[in-house]
Amino acid sequence: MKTELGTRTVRLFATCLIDAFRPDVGQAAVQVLEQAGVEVQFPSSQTCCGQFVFNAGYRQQAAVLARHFVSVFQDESTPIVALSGSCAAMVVHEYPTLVIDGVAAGETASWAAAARAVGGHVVEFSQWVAAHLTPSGAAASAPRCLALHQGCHMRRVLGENAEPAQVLSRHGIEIQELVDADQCCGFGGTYSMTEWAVSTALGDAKIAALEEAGRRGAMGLVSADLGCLLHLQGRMRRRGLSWPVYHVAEVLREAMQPQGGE
Amino acid sequence: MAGHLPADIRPWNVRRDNGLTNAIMRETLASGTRRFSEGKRQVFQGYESQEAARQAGVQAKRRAVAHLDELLERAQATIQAQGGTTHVAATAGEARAIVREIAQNAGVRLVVKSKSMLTEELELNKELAASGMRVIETDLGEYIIQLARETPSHILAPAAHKNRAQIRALFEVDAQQAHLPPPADDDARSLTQFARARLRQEFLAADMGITGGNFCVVETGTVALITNEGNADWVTSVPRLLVCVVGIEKLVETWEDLTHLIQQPAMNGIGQRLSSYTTLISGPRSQFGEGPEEFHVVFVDNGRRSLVGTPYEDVLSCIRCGACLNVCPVFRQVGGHAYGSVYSGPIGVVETPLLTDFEVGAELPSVACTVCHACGEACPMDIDLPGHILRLRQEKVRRHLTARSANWSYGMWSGAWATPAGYRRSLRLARLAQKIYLRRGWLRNAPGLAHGWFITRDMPKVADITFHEWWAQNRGTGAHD
Amino acid sequence: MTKPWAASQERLVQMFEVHWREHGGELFRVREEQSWPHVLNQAWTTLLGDQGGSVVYWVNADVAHLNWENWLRRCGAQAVYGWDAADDMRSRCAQAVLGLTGSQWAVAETGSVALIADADRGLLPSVMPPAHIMLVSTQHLVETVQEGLQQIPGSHGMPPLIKLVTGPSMTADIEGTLVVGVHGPGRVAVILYDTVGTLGADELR
Ligand code: SF4
Repeated sequence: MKTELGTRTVRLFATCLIDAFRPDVGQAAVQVLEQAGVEVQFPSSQTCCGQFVFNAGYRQQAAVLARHFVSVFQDESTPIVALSGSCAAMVVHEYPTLVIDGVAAGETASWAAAARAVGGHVVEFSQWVAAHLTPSGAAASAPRCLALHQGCHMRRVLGENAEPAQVLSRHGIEIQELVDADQCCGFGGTYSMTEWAVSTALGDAKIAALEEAGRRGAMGLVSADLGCLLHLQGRMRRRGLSWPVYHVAEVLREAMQPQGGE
Repeated sequence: MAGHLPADIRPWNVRRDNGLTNAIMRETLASGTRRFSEGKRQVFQGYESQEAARQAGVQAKRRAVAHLDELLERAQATIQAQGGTTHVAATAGEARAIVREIAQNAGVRLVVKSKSMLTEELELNKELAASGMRVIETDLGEYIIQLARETPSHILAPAAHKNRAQIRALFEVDAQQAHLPPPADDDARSLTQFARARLRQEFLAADMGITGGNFCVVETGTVALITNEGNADWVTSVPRLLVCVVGIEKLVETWEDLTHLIQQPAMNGIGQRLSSYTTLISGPRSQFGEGPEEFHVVFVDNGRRSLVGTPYEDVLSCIRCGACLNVCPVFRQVGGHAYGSVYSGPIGVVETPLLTDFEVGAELPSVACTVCHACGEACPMDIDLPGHILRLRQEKVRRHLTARSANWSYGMWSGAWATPAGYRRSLRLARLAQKIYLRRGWLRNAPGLAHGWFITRDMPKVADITFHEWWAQNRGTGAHD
Repeated sequence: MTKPWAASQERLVQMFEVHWREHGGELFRVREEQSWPHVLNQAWTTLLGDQGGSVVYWVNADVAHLNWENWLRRCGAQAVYGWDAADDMRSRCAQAVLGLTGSQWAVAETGSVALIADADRGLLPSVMPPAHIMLVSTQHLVETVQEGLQQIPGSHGMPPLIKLVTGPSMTADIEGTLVVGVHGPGRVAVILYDTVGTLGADELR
């Protein structure tokens, strides 16, 4: 892949889940971007966007994390490439009203403005790739056919729908739509822990849809949201199923490898 | 003032597990809600005028809620001028008493009803039965669950949790009591044929009809009823007495408002341009005409007014189309009964605690929503359902309705992760502590909040080298150049 | 040469036909007066086969001069009752195999027919019998529900009872299976007819 307009710089927003549980996804993203000639920066003070805490109803506590995020990212204006559609949606849509929670009256306007500015730079990974990179070279070692799971926040809050499928199919990867694709996989942040029974029932429905897509040729599941993937993968593992799951960045990295090479 | 809603007092996990283990219900709900949602998608295609009508309808509902008191006055005046009688009930108890008295004064013995969520909310049938009247639900699904002594599991498909064999068994007992031949078999058509004949007996004998109202038009004094079965037409045309029980939020000001809204329930709920029957009743029969001799409208508050002027005000715009239920992933899994409230699905999650000031359904915002936003996208009245659910979760935290241990966990979590050092320290700590839970490189359990995850799922372990650490080692300082 | 009015009316006819049939309604057309008996017979056969029985009916003033009772008998009706709001109408409707009614107007884009109750026009023939035929004048076709409803609160004030029929009575309450004919008619037909001459304003109300 090549960037359209020579070298660009982006800041990576890795997310806590990728940082702690699947750092290889972050590495894949870095490799994909760097290989296309993009300069990747990683503001290393970043932690977590606070979505788990926010969705559980702990607004004040989430606001603390939101302000930390904003202060880490506010000084520059290079794009912030987010490795999760859901976390991107959190920053873009919730932060402007969230950051002012618990802030002294005189500072609310500046926090809100800073949050809006930061939100304005946030772009979900596949969205950024779709807009700025063009595929080059014959793609190779990636799975030929995958089922796509679109996270709910990416689908509805970010309103992004086409990009993950678009960037993957540009590399010749066939995308199988899941039955009931617009149904939530049941992850829902800490909902997966506090309401594990419903969460699991939804996960099993999604896994059944994956198996059905498998009969149509899908060799695994791909998504732009790691939370959903960990939930589904963890469930499949417990049930003794072994469908591979991939973050979009991982598939793109594979697709950009020269045939047979590492 | 907060209202009262009937509640299923069994705990959530019991109600939920009843739903999760009812394969018939889940099957029926899944195919039904899928069909409705797909129908909705199709019916709007190439029908742009209805998108404009929808928007005008939203405005009409919002305006009405903003002028509720004035509209209520005017609606009463119009209905009275057209020969109807009006009543206003602030509470559920008042509403029950009003309807009971109307019936008692007229010496009513048999009441036929068309489907009304509000009368479920009021538990009106119980009240009338206690005064010695027979009350018959005439919507087929409602009739089935009345025979089974249950409550609706979906506002559009009340008996979605029953299968044909169960329904046939109920009808066989009923046939014996009514001296009718039982259904020939358990085919849906035979069962429906039986219900037709059976309920016809009741329609013809009834002294009083009770309906809800989908809309109530202030300027014309009209109650609009929308059904597919045609039972509302029996109820409005046959008994000599008609009582429409209408929530105050059903008011819209003008006839024109109605023209924008009238197609919305069917378009959004079941994917039809209009339901089979739209019945508009504006008064008692004129001298020779048809319709009831006496026409009553009972306007009910029961907690609704307490939402006016709050961030939740738009909830009063709900047209009970069911679109939010149809797309809700949790609803599809657990079914309507799990909510323990008359109102289920996303709107029930929001409305139940709100109407009762958290007396009923306080658990719902936390347990019955994955925050997937499908309901917000589906709602034709632009009600901010996902936003409200989050707001209610926050409200619960503020009101100390959440577990102390949870408060502690989330507090620790955000406190630690608000600084890079704290964040890294907690991950290092987790990496050390996880050792006892590892099996073949995967986490099999964890304590505290996270435990729920591991009841049904594994999790990759906290990585030996996190992304932060990898970056520091491989790109470190200077890699930016 | 087709007049522009006729052309636009024909467009509404086609639109109505599509949507009315979509709901499972039957549709027939009468273009000139002499084909009424034949079309009525067709409609009867489609809805009722060779079944006989009694009929309750009323029609709009523009076709009231026609020989309905005779024609209905020839279709197979053993008894034909004109609607007169008498008390025994209820039991007559309950026993009838067919209700035949006129209509006020019909909506092309939804396939709906509006009935308004008054002294000479009851709604019971559209509720109680298992089959219902509605006569709709092509002059009374409007495109949208809104256009139709806008005609209503006319100079006579608000009619107490208005009904829009958009297909047969149906339910999916039993395991989601669609069944027609729950409480209302399971078989419904519209006979569209072209009226010769103009109608009074009162009729259009
Ligand atoms: S909340 Fe919206 S989608 Fe749900 S029933 Fe009410 S109007 Fe329909």
